[in-house]
Amino acid sequence: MDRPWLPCVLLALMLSGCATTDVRLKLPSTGLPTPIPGGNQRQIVLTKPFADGRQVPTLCGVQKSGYGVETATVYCKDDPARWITDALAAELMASGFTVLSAQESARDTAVTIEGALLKLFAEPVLGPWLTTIETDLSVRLVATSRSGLRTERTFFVKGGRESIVWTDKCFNESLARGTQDLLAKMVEAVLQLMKQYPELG
Amino acid sequence: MKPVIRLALGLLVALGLAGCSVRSVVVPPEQLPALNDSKWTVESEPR
Repeated sequence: MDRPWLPCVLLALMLSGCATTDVRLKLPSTGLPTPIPGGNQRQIVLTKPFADGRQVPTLCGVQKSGYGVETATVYCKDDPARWITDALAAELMASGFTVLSAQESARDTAVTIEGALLKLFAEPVLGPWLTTIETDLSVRLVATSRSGLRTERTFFVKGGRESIVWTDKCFNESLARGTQDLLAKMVEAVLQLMKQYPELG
Repeated sequence: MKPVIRLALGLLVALGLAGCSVRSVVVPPEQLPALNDSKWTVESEPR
């Protein structure tokens, strides 16, 4: 054979699963398929955008080879903190809340919600037969009111997409599933808070 | 053993060892309940 190294290079490329190119995560623009009702036009002032409290704000995950070696980087196409703030605002409005910005005038009873994106990280988790693209998402919400309420809650969800190969599409689907779960949990929590304090909003 | 096969085996072992030492950033699913608050932590009630 003229090129004895050629089979080794081909083998290495096969084993790497062609996972050597960076992934660009598309942050989903759609909310829950069916909004959770109950907002009843009560007012929420949402401070935009949420703080970005991630350990490495420039990174949204890692791509790995079939051996679990990190081979490339996962980037977010847009600003994730701004994206999750907008997604929550849209979902709260879909639930029937009146969502205002900090600059708009609100009733004295309105609840102000601030938040921080604590984690958005996607990576392949290798199994014996299938690989799952797991996406961790975490947000902390702090709700306050002029009448003295101060309460906070941290949400942590995981999106998953099983596949034999892990393409950009798999990463995006994993993030989309995690996002749906996170939005549902946050909206349900806000509804629960407003139910607990009927005088607010 | 042919040098090509030896090289390929060496490459496999190296990749395998590297794979074993790679850390994960995502948390195991069983840790999720501990990281997820089940209710709001109220620091002060409205007057």
